[in-house]
Amino acid sequence: MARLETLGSLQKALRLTAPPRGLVPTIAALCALAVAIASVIHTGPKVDRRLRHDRATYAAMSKHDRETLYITSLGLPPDYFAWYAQYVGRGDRLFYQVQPSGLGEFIDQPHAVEDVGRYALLPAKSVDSLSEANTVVTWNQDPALLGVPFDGQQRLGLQLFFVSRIKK
Amino acid sequence: MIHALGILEANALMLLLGYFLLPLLGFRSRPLVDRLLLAYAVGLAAGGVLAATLALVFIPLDAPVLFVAVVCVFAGWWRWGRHERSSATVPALDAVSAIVLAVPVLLLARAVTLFAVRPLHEFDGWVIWATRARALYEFSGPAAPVFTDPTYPALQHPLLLPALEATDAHFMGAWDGTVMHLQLLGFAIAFVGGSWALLRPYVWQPLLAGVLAAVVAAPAVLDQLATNYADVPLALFVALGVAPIALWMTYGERELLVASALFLGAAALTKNEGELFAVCALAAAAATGGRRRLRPVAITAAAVAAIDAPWRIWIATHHVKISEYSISDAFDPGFLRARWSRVGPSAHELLTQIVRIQAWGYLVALALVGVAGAFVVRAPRRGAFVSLWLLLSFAGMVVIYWISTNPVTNNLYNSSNRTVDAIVVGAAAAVPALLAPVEAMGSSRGRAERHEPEEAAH
Repeated sequence: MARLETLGSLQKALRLTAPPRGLVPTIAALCALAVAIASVIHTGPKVDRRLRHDRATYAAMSKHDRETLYITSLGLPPDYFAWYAQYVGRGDRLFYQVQPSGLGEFIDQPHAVEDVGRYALLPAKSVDSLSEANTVVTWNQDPALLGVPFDGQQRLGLQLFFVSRIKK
Repeated sequence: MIHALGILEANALMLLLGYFLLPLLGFRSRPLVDRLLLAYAVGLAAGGVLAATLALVFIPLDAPVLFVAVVCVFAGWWRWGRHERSSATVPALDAVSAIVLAVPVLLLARAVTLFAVRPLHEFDGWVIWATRARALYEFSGPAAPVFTDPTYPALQHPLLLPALEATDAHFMGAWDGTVMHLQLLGFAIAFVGGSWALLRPYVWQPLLAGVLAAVVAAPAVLDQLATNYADVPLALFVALGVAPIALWMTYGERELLVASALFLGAAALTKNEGELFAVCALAAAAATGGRRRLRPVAITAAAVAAIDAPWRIWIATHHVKISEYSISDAFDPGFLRARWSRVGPSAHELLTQIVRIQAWGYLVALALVGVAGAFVVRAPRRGAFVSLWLLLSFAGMVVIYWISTNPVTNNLYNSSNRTVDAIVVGAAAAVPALLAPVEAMGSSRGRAERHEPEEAAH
């Protein structure tokens, strides 16, 4: 009885909401609270450290590096996409002509370039067949190999990077 | 920084939307802070549903449209809602709860500083989700071929998350993938605030505070939220939808089912597994609630279906198929027998991911204490409901891996750590509801006595 009174005083001192009425519901609620707090103690500091570490990492990067991180983390140079973006836009249906090559552990170069292009070159849309396309985006290949006539073409210096308009 | 302000403006308007919706949807009145916390959760879910639905008819939820929506809801509130004052009795915030609640608040505040500079990085985060969001921003709706052609991945995923991000981009005036994660953080804030404000009148609040802290402090939650994947937003909506059903089994308050309908509907529009978790929750409620509760559960199910229907109709009319599996295969005994060898590894790996302490802390232990406790505190319906929801959801996930056409090892390796999110978070978040007393914590004795424990069904 004295112990219950002590608990009651402690509850008042902490302005603690009374637990559910009855011994069994109280024990069940306290057990659950103990597990929850143990979980917080176990994981909370790690999560806090992780948040601070990641914040320091990303805040130290330039805006441009953060904008293109998804490209560089694939192993592709990002600036080619900025160049393509100057020449493609709304209404374009892009076909990607990409040099066949491996790239990383889980993706090859053609898939990586297409994946990035589908996001980075919006609002231009991507199609998977040349017949549906009105523009070819070429990555380190010769567009002439496709055998379709073009009525306009942009080339990045002397490199084999092109944006070519298909003649309809 | 300017772009982050655009996200803030969009979310402030969604908070207003939720605030005026609260009485119209039948939520009881609460103290102002609780009302605002619940309003944000309701506004985010309702705003997301609205954005995803309007997108189907190529109307973007940009600043003018969202403003008009708020004005319309305000007019309804002025006409019907502002005088309605059925109040929930909310206990005062006690010292222990305040201290424990500081944990999620501090972690979320820390996360704001990270999410404001967190770029798109993880593969599906930009290949699937950001591409869909940016396309919705550019085209105002699910334009072909981005949302209809298998050249683009994951066509089956519904539009709530990308539509919300497109709304943010409209408020920003441009697409900026480097601040978009702030919108993701909105889901965590809505979960903590919404659960706190919605459940507090019914449950023991130190336990509620502890559970919310444990969920936010689970490494997988903020880690995955920062990837722009939809799994954690889905899990948080599912959690917001399941716990109220458990409480409703005892208290029979209409607002609990309204909350379930809204959040489970939003979950169904967040990721296609959301439909599975919502169906499992409603089936479990129907199976464990008894005959007297069937009608309200059926009405809730109809509301969830109504929220999901426009997307399902759009999917059907545009002949969009799930590339990885076909639900009809789950009813083909020959197909299932031929792929029986996938069941063991799938169940084993999902279970392994569920019990991973490195990802979830002690959330699974917490859920087990909650389920067992529900039976010993004489709330067997609540215990049975959550247990059955968990079993059905787990079985449903195993079936999806069973009928998938992807190689099973690859499939599990790429997704199993995320697809279990809703199961773990939903179960843990239901613990305060499972162990809630048989009368509401803040209720007067008179009101409590009106409800026969575990029997009330309005």
